[in-house]
Amino acid sequence: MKQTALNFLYKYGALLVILFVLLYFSYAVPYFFTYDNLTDILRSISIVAIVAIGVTFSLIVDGFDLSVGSTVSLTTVLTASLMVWYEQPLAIVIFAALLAGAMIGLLNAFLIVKVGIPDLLATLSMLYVIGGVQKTYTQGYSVYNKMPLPDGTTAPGVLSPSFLWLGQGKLFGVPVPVLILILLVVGVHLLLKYTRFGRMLHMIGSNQEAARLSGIPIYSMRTWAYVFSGLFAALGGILFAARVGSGQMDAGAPLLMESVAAVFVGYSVLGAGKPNVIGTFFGAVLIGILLNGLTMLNLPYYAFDIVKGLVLILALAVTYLHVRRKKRT
Amino acid sequence: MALLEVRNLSKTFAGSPGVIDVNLSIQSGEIHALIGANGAGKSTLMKLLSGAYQGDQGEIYLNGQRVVIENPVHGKELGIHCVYQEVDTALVPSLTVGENLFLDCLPLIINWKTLFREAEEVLQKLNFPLDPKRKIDSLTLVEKQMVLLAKAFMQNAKIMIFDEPTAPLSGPETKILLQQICNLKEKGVGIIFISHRLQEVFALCDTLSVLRNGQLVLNRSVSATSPEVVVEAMFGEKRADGFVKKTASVGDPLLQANHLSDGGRVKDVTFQLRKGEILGIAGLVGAGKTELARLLFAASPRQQGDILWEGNPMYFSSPKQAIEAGFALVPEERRGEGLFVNESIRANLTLPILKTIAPWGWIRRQKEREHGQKIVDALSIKASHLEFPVERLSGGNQQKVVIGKWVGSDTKVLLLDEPTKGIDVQAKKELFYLLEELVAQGISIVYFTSEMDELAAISDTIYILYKGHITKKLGKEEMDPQTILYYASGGTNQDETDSA
Repeated sequence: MKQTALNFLYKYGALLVILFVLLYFSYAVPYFFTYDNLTDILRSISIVAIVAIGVTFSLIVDGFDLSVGSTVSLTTVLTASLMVWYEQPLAIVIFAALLAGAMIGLLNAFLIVKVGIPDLLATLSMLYVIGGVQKTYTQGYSVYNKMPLPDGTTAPGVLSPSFLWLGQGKLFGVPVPVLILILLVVGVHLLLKYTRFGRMLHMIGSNQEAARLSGIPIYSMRTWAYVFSGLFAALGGILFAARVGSGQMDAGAPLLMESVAAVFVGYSVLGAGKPNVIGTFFGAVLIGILLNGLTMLNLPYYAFDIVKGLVLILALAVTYLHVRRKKRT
Repeated sequence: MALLEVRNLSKTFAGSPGVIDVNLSIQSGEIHALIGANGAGKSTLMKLLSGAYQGDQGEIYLNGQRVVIENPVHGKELGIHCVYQEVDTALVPSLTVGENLFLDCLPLIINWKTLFREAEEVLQKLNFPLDPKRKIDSLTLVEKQMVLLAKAFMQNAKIMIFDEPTAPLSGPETKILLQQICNLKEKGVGIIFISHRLQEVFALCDTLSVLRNGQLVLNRSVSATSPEVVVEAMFGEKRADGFVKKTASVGDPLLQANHLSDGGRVKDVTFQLRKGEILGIAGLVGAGKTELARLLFAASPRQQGDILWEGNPMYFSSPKQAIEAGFALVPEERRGEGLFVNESIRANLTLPILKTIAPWGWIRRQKEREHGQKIVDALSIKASHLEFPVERLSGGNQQKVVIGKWVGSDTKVLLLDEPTKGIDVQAKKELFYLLEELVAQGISIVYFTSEMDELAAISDTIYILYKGHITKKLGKEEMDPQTILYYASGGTNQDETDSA
């Protein structure tokens, strides 16, 4: 009896929590359950969720990527500066940002896979390196339209309307970043679940040595996981710049924590017990609802980190308690 | 009066015999060998003496006084010490020899001079050539074992039990260790020496006991017996559980391995494998079986030697390329290296053939299920459905999954490393029938094991691996467990020339 109850909670607990939080805020905050606010929530979580998809990749191969927040920061200012300072066309801007993300992923993979530094330590170092590169590149300033440059002139370019549309526009009444997110969730879900590529990533995460002895090229597959992590972080950075209409300093710093929390909440969605992209999506939804609702309840923003931290602890507790329980039986 | 006496000691486990009605006595300054095949009850007896297990019946006497050993700590207090193979877990690598010797009784403030002086004295008394100021992690394996011996001696060990201490050691190291054990003997310590290497036993020990299925079948002074008698006592008339291999037709030479070395355990190994043959590689723990299997599969780098496939040299440097060439490895560490325990039976079984069921990378679910089901049926893997997590399968069924993974892919040479480890008798039998079927399909098998009775039952040819070298080749007519074990434990060719 107790066992079935626990299993039920493990399987549906995360979704029940989301439902409960949703009901609570709808009851406590009159404006909460409206179409506008709900799309707002989805819009605000879309960036976290996209970054979290990247984190999902690294966790699937039993790795970790702490550098995603810094990558978001760097690609945000990179995108903005390419338009504002150098007046580059949109295609080049987006390509350059994605390339930067992929290169960071390659570098992470080199340190972890080739040099053999433990993933947490390698990406922790990279977190600071990338953050420093970002600040050095912008000399500590945020990048915005017509900003004054150090030589006294004004910046020549602006963030183009078509670029801003990516972050602020709507299509069929749905915010564009939400559409992008949904496409990515579906696409990555299919990739991970139904392709050879996805299967190989999962098997490496399950048992790396057995995967190697089964003929899976573990080094290149793990490299791909980190490249995907960097790519999704870069995409998050692009959308961030488009959403706020400027390249803010350290824009991605809070995203690391939120995306990691989203992935771990996702472990327990429908009892998956491992990183999965649908779970990650719901994890991001939970965090988005909490932050939105608490804002409306006038909780001061500086207390948000407490909530985020507690959500992560709860998600980790559920995951690891389940692992321990499984080991004992 | 005997130093240690065991009377009518029994300990049974559900399903396995454990130890039944054992009588044993050991004098001070005696080295007593404890011998038996795998599962004969050696480690159970050892655990009973050290206090890790409690006997169901029987008594243990120390110096004529009856003792009840409650746990290993209590056992040590009484003077019974065990030296396990894994010496590293018992020592602190970053500390010096001296500190490790006194680790259990370090005072709050250490007087380094006294500590090292006292350590020096102990080592000198035992004639151990060790500097007490050296760090443990700079020591060789045999030197670490010496530290453990010295530590036990310091703590007034009266009885010391060695569990295959020489298995991981090289030839010269073995000599050193045996010398040190003799030194302990001279100090009046009673020693129980568990080993498979009969050569050592006959050189070192005074008396010996042979266990078979938990019972003491031979207890004699070493001078009154011979390796042949001991080996016969170990196996009795037992063969591999009634399995009789059909005579299969072995085909042409397929694979020729020449002078393989991995720079470590494997030394200059040469053998030939024919099509549809079951080739046994017999070796004791530490002989280099796993290393040789990994070397053939390119899971560890090859230092020297070459492999010819139907006369043509083969080049491969990763398991991936080895698989493409037709090799498959079923590793000894099933959970660590063979299985994906959190995944389903289906995902485990179809991993090597993903390419064929996933054109353009998209896995055809229907095809995948069909393939999985086909293997489950062919190997009669007992599970309610294909999505069942392999974690919850029995050992035998797990092993079938690991082997099944390679059935239906293009495997031509199947390397099996201790495939019957941890699986029950029935599963073992089923495994043998499966292997027989595989060779009938033209697959060649290399079977690495220390279970000599299995080899005798199933092999077409046997090569003996002893300390990394192939020391002997046995044909079908010379195969009985006794002979195999005799050579695998370092026996020489002498009586072969007698019989020839």
